[in-house]
Amino acid sequence: MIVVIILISTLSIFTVYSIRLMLTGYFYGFILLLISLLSIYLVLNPNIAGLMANFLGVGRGADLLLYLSFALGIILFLAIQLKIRRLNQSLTELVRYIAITTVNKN
Amino acid sequence: MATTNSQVWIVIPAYNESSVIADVLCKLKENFKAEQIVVVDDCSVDLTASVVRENSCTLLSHPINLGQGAALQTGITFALENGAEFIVTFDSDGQHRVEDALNMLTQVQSGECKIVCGSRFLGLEAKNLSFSKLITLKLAVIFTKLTTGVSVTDAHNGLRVMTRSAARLINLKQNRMAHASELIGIIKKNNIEYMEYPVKIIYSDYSMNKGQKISNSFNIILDLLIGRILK
Repeated sequence: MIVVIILISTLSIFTVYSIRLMLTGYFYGFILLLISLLSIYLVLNPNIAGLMANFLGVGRGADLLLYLSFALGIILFLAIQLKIRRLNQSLTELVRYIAITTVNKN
Repeated sequence: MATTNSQVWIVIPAYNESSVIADVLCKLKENFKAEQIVVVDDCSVDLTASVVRENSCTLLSHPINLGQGAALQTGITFALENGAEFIVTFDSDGQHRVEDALNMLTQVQSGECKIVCGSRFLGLEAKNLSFSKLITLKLAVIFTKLTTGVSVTDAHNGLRVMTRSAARLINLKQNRMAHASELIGIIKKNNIEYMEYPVKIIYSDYSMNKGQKISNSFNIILDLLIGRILK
């Protein structure tokens, strides 16, 4: 029961964050909202996870959630890498602009 | 000084080279205009910038350290903006010879190709090349062939000469050492006419200490792979 409370509390915070993202124009906020609501539903109805796992041929509901979490983790990692890469490119362009406009000519 | 050299710009990325760069600049100034020798100081913490100013060359300063690839692109961009017809990329650590740059320039100016890349493995013996460095460079050649399909004998030689039209096609995204392989990929992608030219690399204790370690090869491979995946 305590675990359920902790999970629901954490997911509720995540749900609020997703809604904020969505309202500020980020489409992926909608995706995160769906994931958080589905997660809350599965926490409250653990037998559903088991039924889904059997349907997908995985085994236990917990295993299914583990595999999905792993896949989601990989996707998030790549998304963050892409974001970092874009930030680095912007930073590089800014540094280049500063270097060229403050050229020291003798 | 040859009339054609007035259209030539030299781009030298530099990081903490105050002990050797003066000699490099002096030799280059014998053949090229000082103001067309562009040193891109990649946020050095020594007196590199002061030495460049003392030698009356053009100094571009990165406010933060980005890497050799970024410094090279900054220099190329600047040279193009200032009307360069030919661009020579030259290392700041004294490994390159000006006579090799001049010979390569002749190749490009004759119209034989748009880019000439120096190679230390085309006949001229590399002085003091260590075995580990040799292995690193040979692996780089294999990796470049696998990733770009381009066969070169020396994938990581900083001495290159290119025409303006070729330079305009170059837009290096790899800030650090992976830029060398990226450049070869750009040459392939844009079908830029290129050739390799034998050059002599002079290794000193100084340059060997500063040079690429074989362990850095893994970082280069990782940078290139991530770059391809996230393109």
